[in-house]
Amino acid sequence: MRTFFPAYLYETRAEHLIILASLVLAGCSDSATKPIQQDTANRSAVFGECGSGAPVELPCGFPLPREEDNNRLNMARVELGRFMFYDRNLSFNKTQSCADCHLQEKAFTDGLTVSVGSAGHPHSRNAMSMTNVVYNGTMNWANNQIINLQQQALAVITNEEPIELGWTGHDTEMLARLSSPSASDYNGNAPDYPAMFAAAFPDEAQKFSLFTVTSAFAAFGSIMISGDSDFDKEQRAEPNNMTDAAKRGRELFFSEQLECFHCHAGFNFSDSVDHDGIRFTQNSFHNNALYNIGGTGLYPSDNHGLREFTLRAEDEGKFRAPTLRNIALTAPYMHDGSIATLDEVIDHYARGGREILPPDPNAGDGALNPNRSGLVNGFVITANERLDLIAFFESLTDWKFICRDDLSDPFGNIQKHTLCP
Amino acid sequence: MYLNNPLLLLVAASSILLSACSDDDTAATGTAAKDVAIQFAAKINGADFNCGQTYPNVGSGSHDYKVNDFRMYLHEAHIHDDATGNTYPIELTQDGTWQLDDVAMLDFEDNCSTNGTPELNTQVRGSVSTPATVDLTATEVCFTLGLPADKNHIDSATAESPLNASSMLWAWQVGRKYIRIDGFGDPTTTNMPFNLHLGAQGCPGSSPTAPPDSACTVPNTVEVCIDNFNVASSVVAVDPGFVFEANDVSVNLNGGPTARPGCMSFIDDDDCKEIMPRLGLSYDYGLTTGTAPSTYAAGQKLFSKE
Repeated sequence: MRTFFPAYLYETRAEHLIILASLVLAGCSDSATKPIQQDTANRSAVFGECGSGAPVELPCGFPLPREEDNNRLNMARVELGRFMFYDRNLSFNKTQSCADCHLQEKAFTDGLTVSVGSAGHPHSRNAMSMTNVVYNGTMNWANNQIINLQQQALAVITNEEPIELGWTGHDTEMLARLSSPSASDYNGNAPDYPAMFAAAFPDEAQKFSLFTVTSAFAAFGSIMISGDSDFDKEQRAEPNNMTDAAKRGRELFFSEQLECFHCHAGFNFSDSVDHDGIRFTQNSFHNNALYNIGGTGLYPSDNHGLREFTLRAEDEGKFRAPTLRNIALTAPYMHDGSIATLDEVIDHYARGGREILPPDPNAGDGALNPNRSGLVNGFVITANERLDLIAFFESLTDWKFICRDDLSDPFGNIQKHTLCP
Repeated sequence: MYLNNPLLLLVAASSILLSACSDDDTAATGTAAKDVAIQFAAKINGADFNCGQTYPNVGSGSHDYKVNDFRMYLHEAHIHDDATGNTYPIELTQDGTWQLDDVAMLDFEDNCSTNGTPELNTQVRGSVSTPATVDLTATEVCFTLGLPADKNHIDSATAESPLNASSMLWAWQVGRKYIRIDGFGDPTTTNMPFNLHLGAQGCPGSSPTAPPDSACTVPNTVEVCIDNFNVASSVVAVDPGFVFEANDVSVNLNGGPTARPGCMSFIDDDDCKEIMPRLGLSYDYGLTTGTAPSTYAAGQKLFSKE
């Protein structure tokens, strides 16, 4: 056999070749791996540390969000995104806006078991909180392919299973609603989208496109940053109302008995995290033992989790660990909204998985799911400890975030939480 | 002659590669800064580690063990010259990713569990200045397993890489996991989670989400030295199979299936009794009843020269 490579390479043991390869890679470059790097010199001026005076000041101690190279933020884009987020004329049948499934008073969830799209069809999953979405490693419950907010916005406007905003097949008309807003759609008071797009995209030749639309949605989503809960204020030694019960609950949460904090890790209480300082691809997914249909490890057919994208059997039932910030406002819980209360969530994890009994078609013992995370192992918790843990979850509610004017409805259709001033 | 000896060839080739891009400086003392890359290779009972693979005969009772995660922090890498007793620090390349100051993270997993990261790192890179009398083809390389206290407890939100790796976090008070090895004993039957998470213990403070008030009473760091090491060609094998040799990886001690899976460094975890000594550490701090071997006569068993 003729070959380009000299024979001695074939006689060499595989590991030596690996070593050689490592040395070649290591020789001069900064790293043998492919870190995701952001050109920090080219950041927008939107985000800044607390006290910086930037248009969007981050909570103290929060890292700078990663910004996509082709989607530099500006505040005109953020404000445009806010109008579009709350604009029901941006669903094809003019019935729903993004905000109808992402209500500020519920930390941008909708309180339903599963959401219902603009055409009236139920989604297979529960609306995720938009709290700190800009810091997610991936978007959605279990999609490892959507890694930033702009991709996510495109998915929402074009989704057909079910139809969410219903743009597919209608994008020309939908873009025309933005380039030439009809006064009758807005009771005579249409937003001046042409001026807003011009201000938001001064460098784009084509002001109205799927790119600019998704970019504006993403810009607004990226400022939904929450870090001023009582828990945070306690962290920063600021005046706060974190109770002793919540502090005891914090001990439990961060204990090796409960193991909560491995998946709900770090400043955003999720191990799926990305920001400007992160150099690794941290897109984690876990099976938390909700189902084990027929003892086969299966989840219900409309929710296979990560497996739908990787097609690997071992990824059946794996979902992203969502942030726990504002979790007390986002019931019901889990990817399919199948657990109603935080108390029942604790039951689920204490048992190390949920058992569903026949004749339910989903019958099976989740605790025996072969894909179950090694850290969903069950624990014993007393009645008082349970109350403490729930008090801790409640201390993660950020009322400033829930009541922020710059996140609220500019059209006045959707009211804020009744506790907001 | 090279053609008959691929290893020699590779050594020569790597020397050329290394020297090609080094900025060697000969200081007034006669020492020269040389670029080095200490290679590590993950193993399970001597077999090459592949993320997600199941290995037979692990631990006591010879159970199957499937390994899904394999990462660790090291610091203070240096050359120790046996002849003089002098040590020469390896100044780590500040790559913004794997190495920060004198800390390096090794990452042998490639996200096989969807719990990790696809990026891999199997080496510690830097430069070392040694006098000509130190033979870097036959020397002793040393490092400390774990993190120094002044790095262990910093805030992950603002820490630089690799100290912001989310899966390596514990809470601030406890710091980070020095080692994260996650696996399952008998994955096709009992599928018992059995992990090794090493970290500091006895860290005083009133909040798990704040740094400790003072130094942890049990830092759980340990210096490891590998002798007869050729810096250019030798490889440090990292083999938890030897660390688990006296443990049954198909059971969890202390409380059955809801016990902490494997050894997580905390007190009252019988899974740690045989494991900690094999890391070169004492588990005396963790014993609330009974006794255990507080040291292992042969020293640590995790690292060896391949």
